[in-house]
Amino acid sequence: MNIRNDAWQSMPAILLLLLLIGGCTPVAPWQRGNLAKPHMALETDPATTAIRRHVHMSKEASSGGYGSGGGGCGCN
Amino acid sequence: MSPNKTAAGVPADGIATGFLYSHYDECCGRMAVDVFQAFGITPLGESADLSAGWVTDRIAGASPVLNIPFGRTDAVAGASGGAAKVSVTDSARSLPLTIAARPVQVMSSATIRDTRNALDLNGQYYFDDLTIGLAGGASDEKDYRSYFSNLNLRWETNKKMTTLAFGAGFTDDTITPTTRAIKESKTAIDSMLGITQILDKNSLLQANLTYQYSSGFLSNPYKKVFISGGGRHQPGLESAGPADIFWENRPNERHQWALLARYLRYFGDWDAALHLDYRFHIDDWSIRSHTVEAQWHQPLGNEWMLVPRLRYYSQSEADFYSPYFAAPRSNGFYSSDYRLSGFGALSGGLTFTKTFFDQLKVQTGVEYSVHKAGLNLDGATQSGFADFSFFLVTAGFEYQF
Repeated sequence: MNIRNDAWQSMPAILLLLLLIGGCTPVAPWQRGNLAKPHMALETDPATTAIRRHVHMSKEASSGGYGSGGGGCGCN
Repeated sequence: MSPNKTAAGVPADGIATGFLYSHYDECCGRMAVDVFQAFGITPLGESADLSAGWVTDRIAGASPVLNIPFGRTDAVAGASGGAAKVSVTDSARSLPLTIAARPVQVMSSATIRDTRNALDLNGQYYFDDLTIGLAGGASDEKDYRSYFSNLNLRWETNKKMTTLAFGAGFTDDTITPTTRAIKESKTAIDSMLGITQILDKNSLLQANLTYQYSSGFLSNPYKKVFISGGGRHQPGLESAGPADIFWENRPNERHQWALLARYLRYFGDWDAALHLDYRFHIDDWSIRSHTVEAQWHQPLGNEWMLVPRLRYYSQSEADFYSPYFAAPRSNGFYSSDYRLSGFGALSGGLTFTKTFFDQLKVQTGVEYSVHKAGLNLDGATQSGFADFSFFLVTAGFEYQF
């Protein structure tokens, strides 16, 4: 498998991201009330998220994307 | 892990602590795990905080050890390892076959028992626009020990509309399987580049690119492979007792990349939030995967919150994976671990949370997941014999002092 060719499959997502960032409108700090609501946090429930990611990681062959951290395990 | 903080780039405004109990249960009498998590966070002065987490897992049950072609059950004797008795599940009888003889999964007995304890500490220092985080921890089982550390930087710019993130981590693991006289090690370095962008007053987008390089003993020390015709003279391949049965042998290096995109949108009419995640993963073992997850965070009044979620996952198989091997492979790499097969998984879950007096948050949740070869985007079904499902229930609380 050629990883470089496959990596091109992610280009539409990157282009969409750049398009969205380019099109974003200025939001003043006093207009960010909705963004500051607890259920608009990127991690609303870190403990449940941690166990869910641990379960999926131990039953699947993929990891990553959510940042560095956490140790390995001998999960069967 | 730490209790949730509502604002990024701001230290915790008080001491908080919490506990979460989870029960994981696989179908058909396989693995069951009880997980106990305790966590807390405390501010350190006005510009820093420290969080800590403790996890204890209690594991019991059976796990697939290898697959053999139907009709070769004579090869099973002694193949499950250790003192475990052998049980054979022929879940493939009714499935369509794409290989010469249908695979029969050989399970370990229900005597696998282990306890894992893990501790992590995470300190963060907050400058005006920059946050520096340093974390470390350890995880210990009777056959596996892991130490890890990582550094994270977050820089808020563009009038705090944009946050750029960088992370780097290192993991050092030691493996001492209980049924084999070996002691092995592996290490991993990982890195992350990320951007979080406020799109408008109701939505934001995050994109992360991560890379991980693993090296050392990357095989599962308990998994075996059936190689018809044997592979006794191949370097790196070790006999697991009976003829044609060997310990699995994976490459000793792996490069993994993942691209994650997360979109959050607030809907004022319902006071609700939609969380959408998409992850593309690729590695040099030929495994490509797509993960999509959607969550809807719906306040119900009186401080109740309902969060339904759906998750879909699909992966292609590793290039050295096969349910069993009809002939030796030229490079000597073999695995029949179902986690390296091509499959898809569909999960659905629900979490209820109730907050009391703005200080105590109590929650419970359930998730059910189905793993099926037939759910794979590629449509591959040759590993359908390994299909299974599990559920996960959680209950816990957080208290803000």
